[in-house]
Amino acid sequence: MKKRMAGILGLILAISLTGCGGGENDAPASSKDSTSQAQTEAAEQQEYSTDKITCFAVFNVGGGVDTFGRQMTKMLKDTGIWNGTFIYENVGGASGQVGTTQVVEQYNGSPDYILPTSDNSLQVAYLNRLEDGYGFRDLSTVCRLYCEYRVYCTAPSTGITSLEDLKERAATEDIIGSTSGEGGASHIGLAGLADAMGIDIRCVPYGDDEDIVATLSGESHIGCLGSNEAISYIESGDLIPLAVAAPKRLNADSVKDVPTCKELGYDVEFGTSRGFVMPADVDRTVVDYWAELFHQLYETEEFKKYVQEAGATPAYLGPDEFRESNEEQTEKSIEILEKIGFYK
Amino acid sequence: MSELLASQLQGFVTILNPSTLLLLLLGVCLGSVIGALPGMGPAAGTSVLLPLTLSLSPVNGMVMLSGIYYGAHFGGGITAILLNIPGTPGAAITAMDGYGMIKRGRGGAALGMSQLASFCGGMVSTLVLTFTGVSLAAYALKFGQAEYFALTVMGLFLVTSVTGDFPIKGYLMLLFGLALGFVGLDKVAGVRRFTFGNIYLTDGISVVTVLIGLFGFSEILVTLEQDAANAYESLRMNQIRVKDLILSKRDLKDSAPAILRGTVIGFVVGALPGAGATIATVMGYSYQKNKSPNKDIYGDGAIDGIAVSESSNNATTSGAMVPMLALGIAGSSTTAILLTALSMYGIQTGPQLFTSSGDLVWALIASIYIGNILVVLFNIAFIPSFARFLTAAEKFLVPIIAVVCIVGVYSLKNRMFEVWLMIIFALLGYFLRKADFPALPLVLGVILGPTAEAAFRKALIQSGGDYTVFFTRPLSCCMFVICIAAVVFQIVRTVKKRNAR
Amino acid sequence: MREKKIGEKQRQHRPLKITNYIFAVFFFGIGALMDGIVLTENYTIQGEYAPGTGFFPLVVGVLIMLASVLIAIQTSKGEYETKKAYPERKKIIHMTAFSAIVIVSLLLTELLGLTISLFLIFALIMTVIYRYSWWYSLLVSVVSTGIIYGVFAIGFSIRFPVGIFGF
Repeated sequence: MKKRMAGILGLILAISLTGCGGGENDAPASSKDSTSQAQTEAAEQQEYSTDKITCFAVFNVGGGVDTFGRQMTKMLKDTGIWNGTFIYENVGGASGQVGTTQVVEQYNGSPDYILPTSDNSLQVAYLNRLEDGYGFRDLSTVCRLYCEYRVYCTAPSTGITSLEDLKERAATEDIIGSTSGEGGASHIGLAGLADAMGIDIRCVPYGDDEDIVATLSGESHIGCLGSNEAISYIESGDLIPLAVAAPKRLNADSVKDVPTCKELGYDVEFGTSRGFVMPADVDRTVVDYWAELFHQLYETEEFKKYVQEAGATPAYLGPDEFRESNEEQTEKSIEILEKIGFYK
Repeated sequence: MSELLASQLQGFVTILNPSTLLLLLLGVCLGSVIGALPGMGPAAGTSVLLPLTLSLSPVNGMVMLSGIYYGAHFGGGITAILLNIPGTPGAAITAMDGYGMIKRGRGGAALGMSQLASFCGGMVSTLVLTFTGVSLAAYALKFGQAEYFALTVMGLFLVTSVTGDFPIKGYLMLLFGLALGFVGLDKVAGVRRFTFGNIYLTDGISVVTVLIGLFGFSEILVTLEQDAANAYESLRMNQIRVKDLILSKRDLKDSAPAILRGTVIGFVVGALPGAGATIATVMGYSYQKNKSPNKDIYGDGAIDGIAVSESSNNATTSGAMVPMLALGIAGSSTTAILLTALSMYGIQTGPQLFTSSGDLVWALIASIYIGNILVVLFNIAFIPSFARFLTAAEKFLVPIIAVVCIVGVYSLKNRMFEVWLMIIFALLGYFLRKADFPALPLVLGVILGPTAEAAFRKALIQSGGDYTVFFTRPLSCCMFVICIAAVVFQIVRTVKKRNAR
Repeated sequence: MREKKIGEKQRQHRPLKITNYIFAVFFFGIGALMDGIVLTENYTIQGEYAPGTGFFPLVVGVLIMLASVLIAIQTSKGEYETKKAYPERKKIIHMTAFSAIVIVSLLLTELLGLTISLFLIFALIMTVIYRYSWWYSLLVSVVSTGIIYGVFAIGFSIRFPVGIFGF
């Protein structure tokens, strides 16, 4: 069976639930304390500082990762934590592999680049066993900032108002789910839900944005949107939220009353981690410098407000912890993939 | 209705201040220049200026960024007409008749028409956006995968009208274009196809690279082969002063229906997320061919060909604003950047945009009206000087164009691989031209093929393998019936012609 | 093949059949290659509900081969009379020189950087094809390359490939 590069992406999310940590809490208090302590020590010892860096996104302008990078870097400046200049560069293509290849092959050791990233793009090369692929092992992990959990939604025109309605419908008709791509985050989110509920959901890979259109129009019975995307449609009444694939209910006003899958009896959790990495072989003081800056951002009210409005969950991890988290998730994903016979 | 007009009027009031108007002027002028440069499109221009505009107020920033977006479609036709180098994919269609008119010494009229048609397309479609914007979004939602497939099939069928004198060659080019569209990631299954282990090919072959190679760069080879010393001498044949841009009554009469057709098709197709400006332009152009009063020179110097392609080009930009503003859905890479800009300003995009940030939205729409006027005035002033510069620099045009094409294509994805692809298509385009293989069907195949294939497969996955879905859905059924009718009509006409002989 | 000294008009009307055959073979090869890859790489032909990854490439490959054969047949029947003539040798030299200059200069990009490659393209076209004096070519090339660099690399912040000279 031909390996599917994108097909691995969503499976990563099945594993990332363990990496995201619980509810609105950060990583366990003790490790957070030790992380920030180590960073403070490093910051005190370090001599490194800079007033210019390129924010290099391995996706095109307008995509989720790029927007995340621009938002976070803007916040760093707006909050006065850092007053330098960010230069933005985008090299997209092949699910981030084109840009990552450029960074690994051309910018190794350079402190002049920082990459906004998500766990998908960091792990896809290993899970898909790409011979020419690169991932987090070829980069310096800086930090993770938050997790964005998935929200299951439907259009009012479908007449479905809860997961139980969906289950009843599934008994008599084909249920269609809209996804952004084969094996992508939304695909695995829906497959996971279908598996937990014991129903069949036929997932159609409509594509980016077209999957939202399909969900909004009622062409599909159910969609699996990131919390950030889902909130605006839920607020306007164009989508009805059925459940959130999170360990605890989300904070944002429009979704705080939406039950989690666990509450409804389905053990389903899916989310996307977002953070930053740098080229490999960069001096540790440089990595710690940026990890500390982002940690300071993490503590600000602006960041907390932003994350809450996006319905995401703050979940800081430092450089070593972010790398370990990625390793764990990758190992677990490979186990699952081997189990289901993906590597034929 | 009165509330709507009041909101729109308020929008005008918001932007009628010196700083906003200045930024609008800057945006549309930059957009026009960017559009004229081969390779660089509005997406590149807006992404470069995004950090800068974020230091402005939301109104000023969005006004400037969207000015670049639609301004580019005014500029794209200029180099397409003067040098046969399309600045934007939609302008490739304009290049055919535009450059044809230059060769006939009617460059002034061609340029004048490109600006007039762009202006009309932009203004009329913005009027429709003003009065129907939000409700039109509901129409965009009705368009499912079956309908997308039907739309692209209509476009592919219409290629029969542009195959030239040798239909089989035209169809072969179409098939080759479809084949090129298969290279890259299969979006439905997420699998790499025909990438030969090359990471860059996984990203697919860019339409712009193909266009610039086939049209702009291979044109250099053709002109060098014909007469290096007088390459681009056709420019000398054309007086392009401001007064030469004014159109005759005959030209206006020939083109008025074409402008209307282009505007309607452009807006309607532009409002569909994922359909794109080029599909709209292709469809408008092919449709116009059947109605053209200049059938014998259509594709090689017909003014209504320019009229329909430029008007539909510009109409798609306002059309694309429908899903963007009403639903928060990006129909193209440029609208994705505009949405990013909105979210960077802390503005929640999505269905609530009109209610939560109505002032901004109406100001944005108002700026499109004024922007259209400003960019036309700028171009009318700029075109004669540009044409004079090109004529004066005629001896250097070959290296200038070569270098600008190379840099433009490089700037698409910041890699030399695209440049090498362009060179390959340029050489291929040269030899294809020598052998009378028409280039346009190839372009159509590259543009329409991927959408057609993906839509077909997605529609079937949705229906659970039921092929009747294409005829049981009313919209899709209508479009297929039109296609079949057109084919039958064409066959009957051909048979009648043969019998008459 | 040496031309006989026949009249110019007659030469112009000689059909270019050979190019049709060459392209027919070329495209037949493309179609065959496509289908070969689909079959050897085991692209899915039929998925669960819809055609798979390999279905349309397979069909298009077959159609390309068919169309190529048709063109060859039509050419042999004399259906492609064309007024085009073979270009003069001098003109082909210009075209070939241009292609060679561009290709070689671009090949040097990794070593010299894009800016210098563009400069080379400019300068060589002017001296070799248009036969301007070397100093005039140099001057115009430096100025033009500078403007291009200013507009694209600085104005639009496009990162040009950098060579051994650092720019």
